[in-house]
Amino acid sequence: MNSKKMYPVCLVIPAFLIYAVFFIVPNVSGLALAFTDWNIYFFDDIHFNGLDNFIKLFHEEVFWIALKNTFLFAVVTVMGKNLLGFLMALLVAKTSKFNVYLRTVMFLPVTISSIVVSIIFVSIYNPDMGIVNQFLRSVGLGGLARQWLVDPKVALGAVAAMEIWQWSGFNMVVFVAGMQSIPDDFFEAARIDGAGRWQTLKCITVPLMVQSFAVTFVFSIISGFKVFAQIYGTTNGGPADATQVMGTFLFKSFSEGKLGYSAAVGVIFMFLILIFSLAFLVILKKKEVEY
Amino acid sequence: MKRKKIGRRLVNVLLFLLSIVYIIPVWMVFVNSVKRPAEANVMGVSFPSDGVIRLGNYLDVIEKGGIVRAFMNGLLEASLSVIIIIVTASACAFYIARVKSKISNGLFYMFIMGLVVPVAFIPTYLVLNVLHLLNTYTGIILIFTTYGLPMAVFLYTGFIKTVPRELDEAAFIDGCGPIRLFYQIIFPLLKPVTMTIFILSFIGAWNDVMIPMFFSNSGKWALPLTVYNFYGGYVKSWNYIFADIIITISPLLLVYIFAQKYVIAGMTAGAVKG
Amino acid sequence: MMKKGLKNKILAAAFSVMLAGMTGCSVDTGTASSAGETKAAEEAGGTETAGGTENTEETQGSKETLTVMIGSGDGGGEAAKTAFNKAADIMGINVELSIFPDDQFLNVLNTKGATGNLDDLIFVSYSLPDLPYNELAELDGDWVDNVTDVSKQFLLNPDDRQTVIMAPMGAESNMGLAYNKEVLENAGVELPILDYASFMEACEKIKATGVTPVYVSAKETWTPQILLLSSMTSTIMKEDGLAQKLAANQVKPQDIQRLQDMWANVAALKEMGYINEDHMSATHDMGKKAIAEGSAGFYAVTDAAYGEIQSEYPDLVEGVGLTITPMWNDAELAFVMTNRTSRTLAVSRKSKNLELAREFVNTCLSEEVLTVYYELSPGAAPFKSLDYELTTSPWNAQMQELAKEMPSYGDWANALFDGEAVLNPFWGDFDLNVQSMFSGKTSQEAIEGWYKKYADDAKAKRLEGF
Repeated sequence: MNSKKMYPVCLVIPAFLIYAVFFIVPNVSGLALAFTDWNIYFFDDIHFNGLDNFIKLFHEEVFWIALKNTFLFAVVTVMGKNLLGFLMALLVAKTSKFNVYLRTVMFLPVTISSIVVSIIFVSIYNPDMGIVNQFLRSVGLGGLARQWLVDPKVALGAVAAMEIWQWSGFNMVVFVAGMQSIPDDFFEAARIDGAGRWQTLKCITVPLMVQSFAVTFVFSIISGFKVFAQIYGTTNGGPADATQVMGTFLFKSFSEGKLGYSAAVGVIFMFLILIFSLAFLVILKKKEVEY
Repeated sequence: MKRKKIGRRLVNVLLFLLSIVYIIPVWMVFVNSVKRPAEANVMGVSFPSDGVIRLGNYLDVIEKGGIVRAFMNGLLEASLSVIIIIVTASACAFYIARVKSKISNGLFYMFIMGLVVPVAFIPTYLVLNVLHLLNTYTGIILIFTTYGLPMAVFLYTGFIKTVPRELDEAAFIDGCGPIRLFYQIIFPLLKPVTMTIFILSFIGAWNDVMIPMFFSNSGKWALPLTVYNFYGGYVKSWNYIFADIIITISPLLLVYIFAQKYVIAGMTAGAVKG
Repeated sequence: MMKKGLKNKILAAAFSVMLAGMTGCSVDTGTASSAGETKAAEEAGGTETAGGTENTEETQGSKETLTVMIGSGDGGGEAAKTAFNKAADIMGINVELSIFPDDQFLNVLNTKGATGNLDDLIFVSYSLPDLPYNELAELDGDWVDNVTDVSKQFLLNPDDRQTVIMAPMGAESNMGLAYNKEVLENAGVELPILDYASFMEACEKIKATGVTPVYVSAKETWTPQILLLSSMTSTIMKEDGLAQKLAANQVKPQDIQRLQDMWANVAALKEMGYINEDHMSATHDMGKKAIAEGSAGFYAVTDAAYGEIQSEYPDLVEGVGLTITPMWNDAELAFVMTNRTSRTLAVSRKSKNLELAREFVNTCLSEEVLTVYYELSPGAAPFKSLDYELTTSPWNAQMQELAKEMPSYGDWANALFDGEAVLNPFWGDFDLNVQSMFSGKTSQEAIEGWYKKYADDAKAKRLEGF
């Protein structure tokens, strides 16, 4: 078969055109801008300044704090969203009325925008009136009550919990699908072989769900590293930059009108996410070949 | 056997409690949206203390926040961009999934980059300016499309790989041109993943704040930006803010609650193979 | 097969043309008839680009519409909205607000300004050097010669220092310490307090009565900074030419002992346990409540808080007063902080309704509209003389009384040093750095952080010496 005739390039053209004009052109020029002193005050007067932006960036203490926080946030949320999602999927995989209710409810937060979720959680985490602390006090655990979004020790964790709350349902749905697509014969065979629950899980369910893990991990790694609205809407990087992440750090330099500098932050940021998500994809590709 | 049953019951109780954790925040928003300002500021989860459900708050918000226009804007922008995403991304992914070449591979990674790279607002702004698309619906729709394409191409490509190639060849021999082949034979088979993409892209566009804010004037803003009518820097009217939030999220919530069977079925079938 | 190949090419071409049509918005809609959706998009977009005017879905007849860009801080409140609607009523037009989140507002203004896409009018609290002032139109009206000297400076085009391009709408505001009269009375504290040592004594007395001496609401960074905004100017003013040296980067703020002391004094409020425990999560709403209900003695505010407390705690507002913020060690540095006009209105040079927008500005500065505005946002109007009365707040009267015994300056950024606002461009995350003293940083780190940031900004603004 002549694949050129069956799959002509014109299939690609519409998507490519839109993408090229509105994504590639701006981003490639953005890349070039990372080496300039472009800023909002001198919009039409741009000078190349070599690696200045990058040097300045690496000397900024907050940049390293943001890097560390982003990494922490990504690790915690990737783990949380996938573990919780997988656990819930195991429990609600069978179709029953109760399980359909659970799936519906747990997917619900996905439909709410992150900024709105942040506004909601700011009130939930409020130290005096928020329902978290009120609940803790009412069950006699007042000692655990914290200034959730203010205390640098717990603030990042509190935001991570919010993110896990919002997205674990999404992962759950993907996992449920993965489980349902495993043919029953496999489980049957395992049962006949006398495999226990744990063994079935380890030797059949998980390996056959590599595709599901690929989707959820790629999405959660990317959203973990790209975290922005969640921090912006709750702590906005404070107090005193303790919860700054790459997304808010980038946004701040952008908001201040330092366009060249923020482009440089963007470049570093992009490489970081690329490295992690590609590394993951490579590991996954290998796994896929193995079985 | 008996112990197993009790264990299952216990798990169900725990799951039910967990489900409450998922509902309570939304409940809190709702219940405070029908309270007096002073009571709403306290953000409790109980019913209004005087027992009055103030639906008037919603009327105020609809009037003061310009909700009707914002709703129409959001509907227009989100649905059109989603349609363009689906029509273009599916065809593009069909090529990427079927053709093994450097171009195809390069295209795939190029779109994947879009998932990763942060939005370059000002350069995008300048592109729109040059094309005279600032402050137009077309501009906003195309930008939403652009930012929805990567995920759509990613999911479509994965899904199409699971569709047997023999189908294409049979159809092609029957005399279908490639475009007809794709939209008539293959596209209907992609329904589950199309559903997933529809949902995720629609949610993304519906909830976006930054794109309309930078690239258009207030006449074309959608619901999420209306909250700033009440979220002042110095004085905050929480009952109105909460009512505005409910108005903003309810179209998605309603669609989700009524269509959740299809949504989740579509999500599951679609996402997994991707 | 040949035929089919050709057909494909034509189809592809048609698709591309359709896309080009969508992007260029210039192709006759007939060619895109195959896709109804895109056609609709094009029509919606097309009329906008072609017409350029704003009256789209709003079916309020043939009335003309002006749009005003405004930050959410003001746009979320009532005063500006009500005043603009009033002005529009008088003129028989529509006015529409584009409300932007405060932290994005300046960025949006500059981006849209640089490409000539501002709305008809802008309503801001920023100073002209931060704005795309070349995009603003010259204004004229009978109010121009009536503006006070304190405010006038800030309305002139920074390049020629003659053309008026902003109109003063907001009051010349005071900042200082709001105090609960009863709390002070119970503790035996008398006002005015003229230096930091006496202030500490007062705090001790208040603390002894079981009340929090100073309320700090550092959750919102704009509130704690008032402690220093309202107290630093006289220290800089004290030494001739110091402001100019700071502006030229010949002196750093952390090298000025008196300034350093003041920052340390603010930080000491926390160390001495004179502020509320939950200061990092406390909000301005909580601050107003505390000061109105008397669970705190002092709370640093702008005079806008009077109007807010009045509407939220009408029975308690009379029990709250305003006084100076004595963070200085030396009593002779005492001054009343009075800023230039707090809100200004300007017209975009490229507005398609230029004359109408100019008329709108003049209508906004007329008796009818100002009366409404000042009722909701009371204060001292930025005019030399008016033949009508605008609402002022008792707090302004208190501060004016104090100003008889001591000088009156703006905050450091808005103060005139030898007639010029030389420190205007040096903002540099002042608020965040003041806040950081309440979340564990030392005053030394905070003041250095402030310098570092403003030097950085000054470099971006290409100011000499940086």
